[in-house]
Amino acid sequence: MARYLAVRLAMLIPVLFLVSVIVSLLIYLIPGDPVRAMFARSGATPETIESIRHELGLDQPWPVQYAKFMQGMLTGEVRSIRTRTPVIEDFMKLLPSTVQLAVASVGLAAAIGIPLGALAAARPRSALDFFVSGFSSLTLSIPNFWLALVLMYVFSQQLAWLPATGGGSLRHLVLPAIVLAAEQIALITNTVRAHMLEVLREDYVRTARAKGLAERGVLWSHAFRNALIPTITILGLNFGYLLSSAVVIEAVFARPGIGRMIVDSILAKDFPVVQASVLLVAVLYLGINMLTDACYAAIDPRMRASR
Amino acid sequence: MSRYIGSILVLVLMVTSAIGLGSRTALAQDGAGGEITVGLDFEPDNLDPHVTPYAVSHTVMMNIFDPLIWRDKEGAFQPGLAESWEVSEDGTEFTFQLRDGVTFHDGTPFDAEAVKFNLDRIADPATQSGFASTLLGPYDHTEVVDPLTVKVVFSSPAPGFLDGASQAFMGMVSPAAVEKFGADFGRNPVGTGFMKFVEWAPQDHITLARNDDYNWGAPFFGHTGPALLDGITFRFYGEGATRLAALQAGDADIVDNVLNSDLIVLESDPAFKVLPANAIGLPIAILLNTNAAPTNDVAVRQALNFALDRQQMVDIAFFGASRPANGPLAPGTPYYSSEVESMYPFDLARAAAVLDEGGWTLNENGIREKDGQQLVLEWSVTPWDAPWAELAQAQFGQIGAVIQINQMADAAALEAMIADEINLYSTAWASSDPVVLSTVFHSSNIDGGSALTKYADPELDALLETGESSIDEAARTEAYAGAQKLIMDQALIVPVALWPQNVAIAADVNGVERDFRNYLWLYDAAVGE
Repeated sequence: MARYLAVRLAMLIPVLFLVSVIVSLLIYLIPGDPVRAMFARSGATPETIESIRHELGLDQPWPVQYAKFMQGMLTGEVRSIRTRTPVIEDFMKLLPSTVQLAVASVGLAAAIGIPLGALAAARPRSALDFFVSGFSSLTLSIPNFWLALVLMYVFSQQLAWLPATGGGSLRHLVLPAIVLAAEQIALITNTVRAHMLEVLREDYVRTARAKGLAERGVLWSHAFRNALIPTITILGLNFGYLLSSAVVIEAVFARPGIGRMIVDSILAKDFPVVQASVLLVAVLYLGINMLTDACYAAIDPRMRASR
Repeated sequence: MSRYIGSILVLVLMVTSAIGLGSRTALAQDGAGGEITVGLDFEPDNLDPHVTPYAVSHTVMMNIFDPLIWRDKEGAFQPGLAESWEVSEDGTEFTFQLRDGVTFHDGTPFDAEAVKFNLDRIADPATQSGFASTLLGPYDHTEVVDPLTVKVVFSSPAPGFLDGASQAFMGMVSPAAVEKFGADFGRNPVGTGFMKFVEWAPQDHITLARNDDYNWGAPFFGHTGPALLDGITFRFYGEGATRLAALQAGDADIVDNVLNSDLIVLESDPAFKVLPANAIGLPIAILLNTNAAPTNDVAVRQALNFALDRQQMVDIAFFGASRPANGPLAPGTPYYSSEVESMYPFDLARAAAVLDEGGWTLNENGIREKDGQQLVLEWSVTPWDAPWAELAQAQFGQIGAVIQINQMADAAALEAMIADEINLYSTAWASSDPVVLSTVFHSSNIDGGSALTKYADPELDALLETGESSIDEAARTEAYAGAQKLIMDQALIVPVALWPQNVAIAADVNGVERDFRNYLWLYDAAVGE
């Protein structure tokens, strides 16, 4: 097991190197000069603009810029052009907020989507099944920013139960988590339903039924547990998508988060922030995937053997 | 299986009980004035007044820092940290008598040495000043005459210096704190203002608390001594709809830059007050690139000015929350010339005549054409001007001009204009001094990327230089009037509308005012009576 993990860890290094190179090249494709974008409207002198450019190393060839950036990443000294604050520090301050939102919304979506999908599969083409697929289509079709504004109107303005905006407390988390969960409910419901229907056609289910097992037992002990495994895989893979979706939610609810940090920095062409935070997200994503793999390996010895 | 469902249920119960659904915490009101939350449309970049170029930073900084002198609501100069001042005959020396007994938030004294430190710091290239160095102008050095007298010397006349000195961008920072925090001063600001900096949570809030020692407020304020409010929290709501929701839900007591389309909702609701205002300085205008065809043709530029129905623009695209703009300065800006008002009335016949004269004829598709070139104009539109750009596109279409609109982020649009890839770029530039005309039109700023019309004309440059540096009032007035007329004669811009900057306030918050430059005055503000 230890050796398996060590190999997996070593494999991350070339991946991360590639990501860092791509990220540092991508920035050249986004049009606009960051220093000019910031200062042209303030009438800063060309000398000031030039000195900032020099300090950032923008007048250096790309390999030098890349080396400087990687050195900065390792020492934590990469600073934003706009705010002049250390990027890694800001990222770490905002990360808990985004993770909180992601975990809460996945939890909520799973709590609603898994039972719904299972129930629908238990009685395919029943009225319940139609209701479930209708409900999941609805949650998928509602634009998230619209749902956010409606929830704010009802629960914050009219009922005054929850704050409309901001972050920090669990009360602030409720509305954003509901909105972000709504998009995932359909995915989870449909995955669970499809896999359960598939499992229900398996030989061992027929065997279970033939042994005289009650339908309840067949459904929940045999079919459901097996259908859950692919669902968990989908949830894990969905994590990257969650981050991008969270950008909209974070903006509408004025909630702090790394999604907003990245988008704001792209718009301002604050490229040290873009580079550093995209690289950090990649580290995070790879880390989560590795953990998932490690869990599989721990649970299922076949996975270890096959790699 | 029931194990799983059971644990999920327990989790849901735990979460809901921790959140305490249905119990909204009451607003804490400890002191007489209470605490308020102000919703801004951007997060400041930093709060180092000498570094940041952003108006949104100014809004926060004017609570933390005091200027040497103030401008009251009418624009008159009033004593601030300087009790009095004298300007030499030739306009190059400014001598300030400083107020005694003023201390920074860190306890260090404010004196002549501190003023010298501040002005030297702004002028030092190492500070990388975004805006303050522009305001400081042709600074040479500062002499400490005695602990409370300081003489600021310029290398050439600096009639704009007093205006610059009255802005928070030139606010007095604590030399000891600059020494202590270095590059991080912008996140740990220390001044002499009526509020002290407490905390900055990125993307969430900035908190300030009352400075109990404050007794050097300007004489024209509503009271003296410390501020009435116990504290101010600034929050950041980038989305207009979110700002409105935050105000309506009580998350914020004041929100800045309310969308024009939301004003109707707020004005009819007794729970809120609206403080409407239009920015002074360069109004919302479309800058025309004189380096890129076909806007290098003055006939095209003039025709666009005749073709814009500004009243319709204000009524429809700005929801009536603005007024038509006719020149490069908004009415109310010092040295505004009303001569420009009659230059370009909405007149499609005149627009057509100007184009006909310039050789632009209508082709069979209804598009103007000259030497085989169709009248096609490229316009990079940012989210800021998108709401009205399409109406302008339709209006310009009436004279046979095709406007191609590309939506992009501001940094990209700016770069496209600098590279002469596009013809039109819209902007607005709030300023309490006509020096903004030099920034946007003087040919020496073409390389820096702020003179985006790229128009280079010694006559215009000379007028702007006279306006900027003459100490003779009559000569300044004449030069600036001449510059405004020349800019419109050459039709370097299409003025569109005044820049609406509307603030909405919860009805129970009193004493909030807007200063000469439309920034929020919170010194006299209080919750309740």
